[in-house]
Amino acid sequence: MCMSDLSNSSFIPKQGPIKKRRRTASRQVYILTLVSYAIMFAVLIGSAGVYFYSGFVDRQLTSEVEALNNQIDTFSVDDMRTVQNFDLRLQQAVSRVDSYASVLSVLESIEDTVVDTVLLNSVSIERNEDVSYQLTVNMNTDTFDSTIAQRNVYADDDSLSAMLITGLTSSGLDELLDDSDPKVTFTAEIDIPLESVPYVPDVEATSISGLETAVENLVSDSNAIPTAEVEEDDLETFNQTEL
Amino acid sequence: MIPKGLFSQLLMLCVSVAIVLTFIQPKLSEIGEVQDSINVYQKQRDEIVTVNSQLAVLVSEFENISPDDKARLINYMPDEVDTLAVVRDLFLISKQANVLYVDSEYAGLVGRDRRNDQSESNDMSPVAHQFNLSVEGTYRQIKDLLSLMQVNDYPLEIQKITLNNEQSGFLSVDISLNTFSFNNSLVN
Repeated sequence: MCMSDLSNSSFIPKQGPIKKRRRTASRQVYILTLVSYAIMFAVLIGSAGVYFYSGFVDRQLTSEVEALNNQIDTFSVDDMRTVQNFDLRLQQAVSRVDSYASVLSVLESIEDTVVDTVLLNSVSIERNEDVSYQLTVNMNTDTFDSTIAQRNVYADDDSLSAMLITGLTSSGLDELLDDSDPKVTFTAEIDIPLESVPYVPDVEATSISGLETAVENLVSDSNAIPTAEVEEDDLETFNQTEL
Repeated sequence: MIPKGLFSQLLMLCVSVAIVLTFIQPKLSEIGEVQDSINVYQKQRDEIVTVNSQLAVLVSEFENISPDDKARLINYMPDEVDTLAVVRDLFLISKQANVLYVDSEYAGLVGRDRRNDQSESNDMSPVAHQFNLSVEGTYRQIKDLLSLMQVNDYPLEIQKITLNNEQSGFLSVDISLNTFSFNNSLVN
């Protein structure tokens, strides 16, 4: 036997170039297989996860809708309307209470500012929205000086927002004429802001019980015609500095 | 020539891409929309819970108001003005003040555009009803009359008063006054 025959019959496998090429080719296919299988399984697992999560989210939405409907069912429209009604009524009442002004205070203001020598013929008080009272006071006096004094008193009064003297007429001022008493007549137009004449409740002085008494009197004397009981003191006051 | 294994692997990749495009992606966007809806529902539910709790507090406060106070408020600002009762009350007040009652009448509703410059849509002022009252009396009696009007249990808001000096020493007084009813147009 020659040496070449011995080497061919050796039990040690020979590593030829063909085997090496086969190993390299099979390794490339293996990586792609792994990648493709991994992607395939990932997609399948992801699909299953998405499917189940979608179901979970749908159930969550359903429970939220039910919870919302339950809350809507617990809402009471009647209660809301009752509260709104009361609140609005209260606001409207408060608005009228806040803008309430006292005509009595206006009259007392006139009393305080009228000069002693001036007599009032007529008084007209008109409310200008919720802003002011407009007074038109027709007055008599005996001299122009008294008229000027009255105008100065009004001009110095800070509670009056505007004052105007109009319709000035005079008669009998000349001493040679003895046909009548001297008389200067004029009209004062005055604006009094409502804040200057607020209504201050005096609970002790007056009460609604007076009305109840009047009702009782009316029931006991239903056919009686009311007559004004004039006191002499009232008439005296009436003809002097007051109306 | 493409090996058989490689072909199947490419096919799997294509199928995977197709599954992602046709199932997973639409499903994910659908889930996103549902989650947005859930957030909206939760937000709305929270708001309703807040409103319900506030309403419960207000109802509790309303129920704690005494019936007398509620009745006084209703009397001060009634749903409807009983014109006959008001005229009767004016007569009773006149009698109480000892003035000579001449006449009183219901003059009708006051034009709402005259009362303020607010537009009708947000006008929260009550409905005004006008009454006229004519009396005669002394100055002190007239002041008593005005004083009694001020303490009436519903508003008698004097809009115009004219006092004229009569020959007999009396004053002739014409009063135009307003009382109010509840304007519930904003609630209903």
